[in-house]
Amino acid sequence: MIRFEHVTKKYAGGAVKAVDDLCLEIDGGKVFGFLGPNGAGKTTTIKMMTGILNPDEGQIWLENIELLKDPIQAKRMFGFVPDTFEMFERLTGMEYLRFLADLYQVSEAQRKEQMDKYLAMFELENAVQQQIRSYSHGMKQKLQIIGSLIHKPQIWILDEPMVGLDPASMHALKQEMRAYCESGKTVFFSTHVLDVAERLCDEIGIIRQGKLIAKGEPEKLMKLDSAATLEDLFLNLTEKEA
Amino acid sequence: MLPYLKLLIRQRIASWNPFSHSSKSRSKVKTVLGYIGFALLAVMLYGMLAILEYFMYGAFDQLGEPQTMLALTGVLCTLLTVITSFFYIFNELFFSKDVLFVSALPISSRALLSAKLIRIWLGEAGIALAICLPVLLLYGIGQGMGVFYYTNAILLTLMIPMVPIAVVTVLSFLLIRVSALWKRREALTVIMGMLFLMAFMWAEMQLSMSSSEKDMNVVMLQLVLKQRQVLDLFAGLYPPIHWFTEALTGSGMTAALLWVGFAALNLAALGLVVTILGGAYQRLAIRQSEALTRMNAAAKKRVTKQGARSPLVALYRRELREIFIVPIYAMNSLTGAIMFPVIAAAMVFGAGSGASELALLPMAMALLPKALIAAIVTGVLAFTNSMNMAVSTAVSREGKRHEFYRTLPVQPQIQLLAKLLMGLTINLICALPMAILLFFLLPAFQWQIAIGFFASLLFSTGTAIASLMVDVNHPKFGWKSETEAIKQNGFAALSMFGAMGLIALAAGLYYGLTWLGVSSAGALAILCAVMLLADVLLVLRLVGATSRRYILQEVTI
Repeated sequence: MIRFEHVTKKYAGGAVKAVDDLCLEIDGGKVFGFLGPNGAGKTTTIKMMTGILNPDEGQIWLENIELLKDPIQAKRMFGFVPDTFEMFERLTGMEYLRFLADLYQVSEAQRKEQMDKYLAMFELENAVQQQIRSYSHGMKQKLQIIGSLIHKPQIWILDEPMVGLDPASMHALKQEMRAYCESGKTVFFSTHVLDVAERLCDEIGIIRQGKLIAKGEPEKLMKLDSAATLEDLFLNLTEKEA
Repeated sequence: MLPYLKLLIRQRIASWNPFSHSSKSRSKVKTVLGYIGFALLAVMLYGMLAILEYFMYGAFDQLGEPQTMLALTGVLCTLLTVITSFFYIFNELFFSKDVLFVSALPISSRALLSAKLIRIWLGEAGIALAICLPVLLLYGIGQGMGVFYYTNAILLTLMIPMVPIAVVTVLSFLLIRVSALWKRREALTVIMGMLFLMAFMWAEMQLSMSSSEKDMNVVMLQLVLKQRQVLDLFAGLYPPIHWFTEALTGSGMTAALLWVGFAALNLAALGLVVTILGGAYQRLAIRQSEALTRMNAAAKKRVTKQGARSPLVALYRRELREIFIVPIYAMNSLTGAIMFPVIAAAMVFGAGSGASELALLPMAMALLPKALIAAIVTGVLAFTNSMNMAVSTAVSREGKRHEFYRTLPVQPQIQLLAKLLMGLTINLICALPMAILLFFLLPAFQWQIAIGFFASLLFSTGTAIASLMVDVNHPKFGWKSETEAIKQNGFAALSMFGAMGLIALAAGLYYGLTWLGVSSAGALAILCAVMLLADVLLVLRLVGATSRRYILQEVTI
């Protein structure tokens, strides 16, 4: 479960509101797609829910743990795939995964189980002994995905996870996201690929200029707006608001 | 070739523009002030060089052979180009980021090498001219030379770096071709960098200890006589340096022929390198760029075993490893481990006339209170540790990675403690070689050295915590290169000077206490107790308010 209560993030001394009074609740066992145009506040929202940025106002709960009050416990609850990989380029993939497993205090049995499963799923078994700086963008993305799952988090947060992935990996990722929520856990991801969001998400949220302008099941939202596709709905809402 | 050469030159000129590096978070005033500071430092260093050259020229003039000073500066430029440009040329030719990009452009391999070498030569020629200029002017004015001399002098000086660049280029090709060293480029850079630093320190010590006289003229005369031997040896190995001097100072057909000979040799050296190696250059550079992939392919078979670790140990290992695997971090963090042992060793083993005086040092020290020796050792080792940039940049070095650390379910206290432990380990690595050396050099004072060693750790722990706290409060996350993270970090430099200031303050307090009648041992004990208390208080602050501030720091670029 994820809950945002009146969360606001301001920049330029309060003149710009990147996220404006965001209220949002996502139940467990759901895949939630977070949509919005460029600069709408998606990444800022994700950064706040992962503890990277401090909200100026409001509270965020992850699995009933208030992020600002008990950040360490809250951070144990999620695994996070950022939109860029700007870290530990000199490590090998295996060193990176083990480093993460140590930080999340994952048992040897569990780390082996998770690594075996996901390295095979994303076809990184051979590359995992290589230095990360020799990886392609897609390989780095896959490594981040595996790293985010090493501790079997309750909430899986992904920022633009499809970027750079080959079709097979994208398919595997979508299946894993679906399987993940079916086991009662929550998947929260941002994307610009509306076809994927339409087929994969149980719920979507659309954010524009920091404000949540729509939230609900894709089919219901489309019906309400008389839109044939999620793309139509997205364009209607974002252009209408503009 | 010309468009590519123009691009290279334009890039280099753009890199001098202070505002091309400034980030949004850095004000223009700060950028300008930073550059003014840098310019002042450069002027100061150049002034020191000019003064040294002035005195040496005077000494040679006294001997009646001022032209020898011209030869000496020529030798200096030649050797400096070989030594200092080695890594520059090596990197520029085989490790520059544009190798693959340029490969896709319609430029021939020879044209590519030519453009790169011309760019390198332009830079080195500028440096050579700057080094030679004071001597060229002194000679020109002293001998009443005309415009022809000055034109000649500039032209010939600009040509000096050509042969060294050609030699280094050949060496780089050989190194890349015949060895597997490129696979361990970073380790090689660290080792060569350390060796260079050691050689530099050794040479500096030799220079500074070449005379015990205080009279500058006598010092210079002694130095000049020493340099003559070096010059004769070098001129024997590299005769063109005589052609350079004769072409500059002589007249008539001989001088003209030597001028042509010197110019032809230098131009031919670069030309030959381009002709012979140019064809293979691009292929070799591309092959080198694939070295990492090939090395990684071999790494598949390697099986590494590792058990589960606590977050503190995992973070500590990561912090420490980063220092050793990133050359620029290693060079800046481990300076103390090299600098002082080399100075001490140079004093003892290579001081020549100074050695006899140093041999008296243990006897002189026997006259001092033993506790004072422990205090001196404490000060020296604490000073060694004050140069540790590893801990004072530990937060800044995270860069954008700080966002990752913020998402971890690890207490910020643990994260900062891992950084502190890394810093203390580096302190230990820096202080230990010096302590061991002193242990053997001064066997009569082994207890005092041991006490001094442990007392110095009390001091350096305090300064390490303080510098880490400064970095938490003023992190520099917005760096683009690792050099920026550690070398161009104003607050880290401030921390270093602060630590040195603290040592000076402690020395003052020690003196004050003994002046008030406290025994030497008592004064040292009081200072250690104060530092221990300060360490405890600083640790409490670090794991308290500072760690909260650390985890709330946002990456703003």
